[in-house]
Amino acid sequence: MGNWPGVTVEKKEGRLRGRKDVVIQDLPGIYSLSPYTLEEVVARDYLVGEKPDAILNIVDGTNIERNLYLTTQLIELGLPVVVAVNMMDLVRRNGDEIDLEKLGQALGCQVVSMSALKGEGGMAAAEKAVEAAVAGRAGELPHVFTGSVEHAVAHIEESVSGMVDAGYLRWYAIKLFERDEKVMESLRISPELADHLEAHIADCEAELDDDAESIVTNQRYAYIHGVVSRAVKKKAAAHSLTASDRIDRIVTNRVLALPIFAGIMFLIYAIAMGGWSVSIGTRGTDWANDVLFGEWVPGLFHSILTGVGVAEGTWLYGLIQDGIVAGVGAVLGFVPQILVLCFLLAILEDVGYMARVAFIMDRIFRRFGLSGKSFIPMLVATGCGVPGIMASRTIEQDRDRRMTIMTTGFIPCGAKMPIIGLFAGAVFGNSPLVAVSAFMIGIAAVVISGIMLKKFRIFAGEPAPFVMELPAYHAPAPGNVLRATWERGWSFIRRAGTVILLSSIILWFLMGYGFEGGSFGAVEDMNNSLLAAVGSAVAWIFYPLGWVGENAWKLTCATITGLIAKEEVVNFFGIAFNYAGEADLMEDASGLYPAIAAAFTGLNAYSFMIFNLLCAPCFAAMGAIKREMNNAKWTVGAIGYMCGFAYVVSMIVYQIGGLFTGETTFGVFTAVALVLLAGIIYLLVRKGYQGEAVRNLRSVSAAGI
Amino acid sequence: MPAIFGQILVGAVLLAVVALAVRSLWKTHKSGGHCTGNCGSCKHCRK
Repeated sequence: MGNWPGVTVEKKEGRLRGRKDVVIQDLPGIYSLSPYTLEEVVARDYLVGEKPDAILNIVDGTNIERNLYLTTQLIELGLPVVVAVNMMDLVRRNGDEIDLEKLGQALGCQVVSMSALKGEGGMAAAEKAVEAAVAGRAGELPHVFTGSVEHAVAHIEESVSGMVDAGYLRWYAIKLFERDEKVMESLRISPELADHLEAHIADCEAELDDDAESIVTNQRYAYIHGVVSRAVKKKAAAHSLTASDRIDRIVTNRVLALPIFAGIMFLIYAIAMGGWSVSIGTRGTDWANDVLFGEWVPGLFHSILTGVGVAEGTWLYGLIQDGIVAGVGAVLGFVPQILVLCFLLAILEDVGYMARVAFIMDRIFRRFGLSGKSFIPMLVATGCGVPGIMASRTIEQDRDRRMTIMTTGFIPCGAKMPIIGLFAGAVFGNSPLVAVSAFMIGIAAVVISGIMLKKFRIFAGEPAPFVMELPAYHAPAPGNVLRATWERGWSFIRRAGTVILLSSIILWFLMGYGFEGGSFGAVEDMNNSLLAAVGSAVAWIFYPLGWVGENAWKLTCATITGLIAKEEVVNFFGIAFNYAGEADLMEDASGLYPAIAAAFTGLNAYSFMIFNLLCAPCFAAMGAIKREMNNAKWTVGAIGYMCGFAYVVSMIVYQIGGLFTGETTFGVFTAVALVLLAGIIYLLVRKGYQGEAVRNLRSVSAAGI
Repeated sequence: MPAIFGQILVGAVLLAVVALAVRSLWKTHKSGGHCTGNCGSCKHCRK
């Protein structure tokens, strides 16, 4: 995961290697200590409330002017600060020079260089921070502000000197000058004192003809500009472009950006999940399905079980082979595709391309009222929906944050990949278009939902400005890429060994036992099983989506079990079709694919896939939605919206698509599908809420922080 | 080996595997399950 502002939303703790007594708190990436986003509040609450021994401020050397804004605020906290200028390898490669000594003198603290990518200087920077912490001496405060501001700040310092820790006095004074509501609340400023402070602030504002917050911001940048002009020598002339700039001219081009993004995603899904000769993910999955979990593992279990006297046909043999091996094996067979996909996405993240995608998406999202910041949670959700939903905390406006939570689950996460892989392989001949269309449908669902929802008063309003650093392109670090791939892959394998294994046993029982011939016991016909009885009772709900016939209850139950974890859908089919003898792993190594192909048409397979990709996420993600919404109505609304949207889209695809393929004839459900399609189009094109009463509530205030 | 002993052995191994899976899920649940954003209750963050 990238460590750019907007990704890490909580602090993380670790210990310095070789120094067990040194605890390092990694705070969210931020640009300032303002109180507008949750990660800024998390960071400043820690810095002010926990009073760390020292601050190690890691700044991007290739964009130092932007990063020093936070540095000047950190210095005002009155704590020992060490500044580590990161990406020095790129600074040198660009031909730029940063005079660390001059920079340190100007800022009043120690400045060191490092390159996290090359693994250089990180330890030395940490050691310097430890030395600063031991010395416990804050540097001299730099002269950032002009006389008028300093005059007002001095008065404020004097007024609140007894109310705050002496070390933090200047920081509090500047925050009060900026009329920071959180600080005013925390200090419980009396109305009389507030009036007194306001008089000083108003005097300064009148003198400088600007509001206090803008005065502070402008003077900080003016100061930083002066520091940078003295300490940094840029080799490149202003009009020349770096290699990154030249690449960005094409990659983020207004016209070319989206086709390039679509092309790259197509290529990635083709390599991971396509049917090309270079599709190594599919080749690995084919081998895992056909040989590893088709022959070797069942063969091994067969030898072991019969060897110790557990004969074929006994319930114990059936439980292990038809239940656990078939179910868990069906899921684990997709590990190669998932690893290849995660590996390629990790490369895209590490080279810096995904940051550009957020920038590209900002242009699109902004048209319907969201910003590129809403795309970052969606990017995170390609791995797992839970951290994706959590990443929405970085969104400043509460209405946009809630809308992002409602739509992040549309992006296919790692657990949904086996569903895509199964249908792409079994029904669509491993066409890479299936996988890439699943991703694009996810993005389209976000865009369409965004446009529709923004028409309602509760979501209406302009998005907050989106500011994001685009890191220079660089070669991917093998360690980062492999670590990210392993973390995502291992999480998938661990779920197969725990939740999938346990549910395989339960599903085997529910599919193998029931009432037959008037008594309860193992059933000959799976349609008489307990699960079939439950599934059949509710399967009618999905008839309009094309889930009909004798397999209707299986599709319904597969979808319901998918709420435990999305891989359960594949687990369910693995057991269901193996159990029924339609895909006997011992006789036909690749039996699941033909069984699935026989059970589905292309259209209802696609309808089933779309519904399972867009409907309510797994229970873990629903829990995350509940936590982040912090409101029962919003939680039910979000999950209900996802299910409803998934149902409508799947119905439209099946009913209207069926008219073209000849699978359906015009009937009541086709008419309903056409009305729903017309309703969506109407919501897309109609005028949105135009009134003044838009819901302007910051996420920080909504969370009560 | 009589078949009954084999079945007991396989049954015992299966029970042990199930117990381990349940234990793992329980431990994950107790430590906050998926990342909740609250580092105080997360075993991974406290490493």
